[in-house]
Amino acid sequence: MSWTTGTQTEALGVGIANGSAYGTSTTLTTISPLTGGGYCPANFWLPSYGISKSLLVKAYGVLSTTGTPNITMAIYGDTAQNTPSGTPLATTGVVATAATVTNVPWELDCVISNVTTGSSGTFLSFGIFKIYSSATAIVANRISSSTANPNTATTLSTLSAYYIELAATWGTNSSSNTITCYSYTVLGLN
Amino acid sequence: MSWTTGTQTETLGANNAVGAALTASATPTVISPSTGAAYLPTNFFLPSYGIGKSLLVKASGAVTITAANLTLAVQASTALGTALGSGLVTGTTGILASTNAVAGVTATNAPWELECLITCVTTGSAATFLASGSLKIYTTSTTWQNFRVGSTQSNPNTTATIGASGTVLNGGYYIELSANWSTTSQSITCYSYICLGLN
Repeated sequence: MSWTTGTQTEALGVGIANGSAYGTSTTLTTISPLTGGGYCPANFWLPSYGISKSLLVKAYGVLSTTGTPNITMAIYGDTAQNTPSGTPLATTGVVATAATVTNVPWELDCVISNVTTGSSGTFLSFGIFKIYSSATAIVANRISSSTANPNTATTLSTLSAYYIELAATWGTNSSSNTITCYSYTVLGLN
Repeated sequence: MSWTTGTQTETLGANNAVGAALTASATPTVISPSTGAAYLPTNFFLPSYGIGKSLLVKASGAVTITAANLTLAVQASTALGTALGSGLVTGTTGILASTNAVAGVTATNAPWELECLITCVTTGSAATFLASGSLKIYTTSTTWQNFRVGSTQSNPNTTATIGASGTVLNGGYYIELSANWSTTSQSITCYSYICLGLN
């Protein structure tokens, strides 16, 4: 390590168990494991050092579908654990999943960077959510702070403490539409 | 952290703004955001600890291609925001890793992502680096194209030499992403850029 920046990367959260399977519902639900979830204390993004302070969220798991249901994946800063609501730090928006698959792997990778601090703090987020519908086929969508091009920031106060959690919303209620998070980590990059 | 190695990972660069869109330039142009760009001070790769010292560059964004070739490169430049040379191909001084000219892609505001691991092999005034990674362009939600990013396009991979021409001699480097187009009316924008010093 160089200590060029005086910062170091730190694992803020590492799941130690599979998340709960989410299905038979169209309600916004946390899917990342609660134990070992990422947590950022209040003023994690201080005015002095907060700008450009970034998180890397990586998650993996499996997904099953019937038909081609829609899903929305989103990363939230939740003031209370397992209570996703409001504007997410990053979202796929409503996207179509792979059609009629069983326990196919998915992965999500997203960088979240602070742009401004304070009660109207802003964050730029961008990454990719991928479903490997077969060994040779993929369903890939951006997960980001906006759907705009160029990307724009989303607003979240940096004065509060947050659990950094991954949540999903199915578009169709079916017991055959399930998603489970097997691996989840939140890295505080700097 | 185990302290097995006595090293730890450090974020050398993280953007807090979207990079400028590159729409037409046939001249190599830096597309990663200047603010928050990664910087390696002089002798970052010391003879004592430099060998095996590695960087991980991750970048992503959106691209629109109608009919053009795109070249992307991870570069080490002594000047911020200054693309190197007249081309981005490996062998150009300061180019740590590059794609070939990416052809045959048609996409509109398609997400792309680049990930590249860069490892110092030898230090000094003509230091060498092995770099390998990939550029993926998700042309639609169900189709994508994958392109090699490397210190060379050889098999097996071989090193890129930094500093051989004397323009980058053990100096401080900005680690940035640069691109060029073969024709006009295209667009690539970098939305997210981080550079990790792994050890």
